[in-house]
Amino acid sequence: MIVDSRLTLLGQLIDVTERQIQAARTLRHGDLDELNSIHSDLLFQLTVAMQEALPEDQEALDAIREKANELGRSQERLATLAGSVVSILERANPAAAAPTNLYAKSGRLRVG
Amino acid sequence: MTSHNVSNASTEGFHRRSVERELPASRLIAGGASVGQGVGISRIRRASDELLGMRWMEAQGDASFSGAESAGLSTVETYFNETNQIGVNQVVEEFFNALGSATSDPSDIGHRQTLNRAGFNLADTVSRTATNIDTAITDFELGIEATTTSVNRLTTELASVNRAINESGDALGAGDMVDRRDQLAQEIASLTGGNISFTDSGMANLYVGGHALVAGLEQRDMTVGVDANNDQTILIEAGSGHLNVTSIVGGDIGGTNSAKEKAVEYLADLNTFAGDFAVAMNAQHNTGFDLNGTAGGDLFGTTAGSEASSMEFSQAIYDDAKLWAFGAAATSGVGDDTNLEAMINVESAQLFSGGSETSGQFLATLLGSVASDTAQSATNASQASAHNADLAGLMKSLTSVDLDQEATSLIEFQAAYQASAKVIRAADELLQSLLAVM
Repeated sequence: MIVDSRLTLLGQLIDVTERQIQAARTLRHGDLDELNSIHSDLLFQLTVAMQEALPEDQEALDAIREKANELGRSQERLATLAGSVVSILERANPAAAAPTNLYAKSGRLRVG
Repeated sequence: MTSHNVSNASTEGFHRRSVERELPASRLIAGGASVGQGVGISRIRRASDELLGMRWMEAQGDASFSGAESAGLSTVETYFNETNQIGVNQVVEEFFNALGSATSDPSDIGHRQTLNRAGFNLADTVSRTATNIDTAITDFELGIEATTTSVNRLTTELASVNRAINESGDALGAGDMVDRRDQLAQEIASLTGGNISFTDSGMANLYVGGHALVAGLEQRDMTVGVDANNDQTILIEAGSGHLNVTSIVGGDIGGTNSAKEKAVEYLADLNTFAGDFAVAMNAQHNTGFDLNGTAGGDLFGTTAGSEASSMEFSQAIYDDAKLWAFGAAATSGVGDDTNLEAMINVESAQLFSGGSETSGQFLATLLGSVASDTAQSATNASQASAHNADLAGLMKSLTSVDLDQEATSLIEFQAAYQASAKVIRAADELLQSLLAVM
C-alpha cells in the first residue's frame, strides 16, 4: 500500500491533538498555544493534500477513513475540555468573555 | 487551613482549600468597554467546582453507561460463540452439509446417524445459546435492582449532607461536607446518569431525565417494577405513584438496561429463527416417507414463546435413524431422495423477514447486529472513558492549581482554550469534507 499524504497528515494531527489534550487537562496554556499553531499548520497542509486525487486502493481509503474517524474522536475530547475551561472562565470573569474585541495579540487595548 | 490541606492530601474527593477573596469588578471605560482588573479567585473556584463538576458528572454517567452496556453486550456476544466456530450459524451449515452428504446414499445408516448428530447439535446449540441469553437478561435485571438499592442509600445520604450544609449557613465554609456532597453526587451520577444543580445555599439537587431524585432536603426512592408485558421498568417514587424512567435513565443502570434490551431483541430473533426453521423443516419432513414406508414425523420440537430455548431434536429419530423420511412415497424404495432434496432446498428458501431472507441470511443479519452493536458499544465506552479521564484530569488540575498565582494569567488561559476550540471547529469542517468525498 502506498502511503497517502493525507494519511500521514491525519496521523500527525492525531498526535498533536493528543498532546493538546494533555496540555489542556493540565492547564499548560503556553504549550496549548504552541500546539494550536502546529495544529493550524497541519490543517492547512491537509487542505492542500485534499486537492490530490483519492487513492483507488480500497485498503488505503479505509485507512484514511479510519484515521479521520480517530481524529474526530480526539478532537471531540479536546473540544469538551476547551469548552469546559472557556465556560468556567467566562462565567467567572464575564469581562474577559470577548477578549478578541478588547485585546490585540500583544495584549494592548484595541481602540474602537 | 494549610494543615487541613496537608492532612487531607490523599483523601478521595478532597478539594484543596484556599483563602477566598474577591477582587474589584472590571472598571468601565469610555464606550462601555471594560478593562479586566484580574479575576475574582473565589468566583473561579466556585465556577470550576460547579460547572466542571457538572460536566464531569455527565461524563461519569456517560462512561458508566457505555462501560456497562459494553460489558453486557460482550457477555451476550460470547454466548453466540461465533468466533469459536461452534455457534448457531456453523451448526446450521453443518446440518445442511450433512443433508447434502446423505444424497450419495439416502438409505445408508452411517449418513443418517451423522444427520442425527447434526440435528441434535443444531437444536442443542440454539437452545443453549437462548438459555444463556435468557440467563444474562435475568442477571441484568437483578443487577439493575441491586443498583437501585445502592442509589437509594446514596441519595438518602446526599439529602442528609444537604441538610447539614443548609443548616451550616455557609456553603463555602462547609468544606468537608461539600466534598462529601460532590463525592455522593458523582457516585449517584455514575449509577444513574443524573444531572446536578446547586442551590445558592450549596445544596445539591439531582435529576434523572428532569425528575428529581434529590431536591434539597427531600429524596425519592428509585425502584423497579414490571409493565403490562411483564418487562422490567425502572421507576422513581412520586407521591402515591411512580414515574417510569426506564427509557431515560443513564449511567450504570441505563447501560445495563440498554444491554438487556438489545439481548431481548436478539433472543426474540433467535426465537423467530428457531420457530420458523422448525416449522419449515418439519413441514417438509412430514411430506416424506421413511425406510419403513411410514410418513415422516417432526424433526424439531419447540414451545411457543420460547422457541429457541425449548428447541429439541426428535428423540425417536435420534434413536432410530431409519425414521428419516427421504422418500417421496411409501413405496418409492430405499434409493429415493426426492424429499431429501426438498429438505436441502429449505436452506435457499426465503422463509424469513416476510419472505425476503433465507435462514442463513436471517442469521447473518442477527449475528451482524450482535457483532456491530458490541463493537460500537466498545468504541463508545473507550471514548466515554477517555472523556471522563480528561475531565477528571482537568478537575484535578483546577482544584490543585494555585489560583492566587494563576489569577493574573487567566486571560492568557482563556485565549489559549478559545483558540483550541476554534481550531477544532475548523478541523471538524475539514474532516467532514474529507469523509464526504470518500
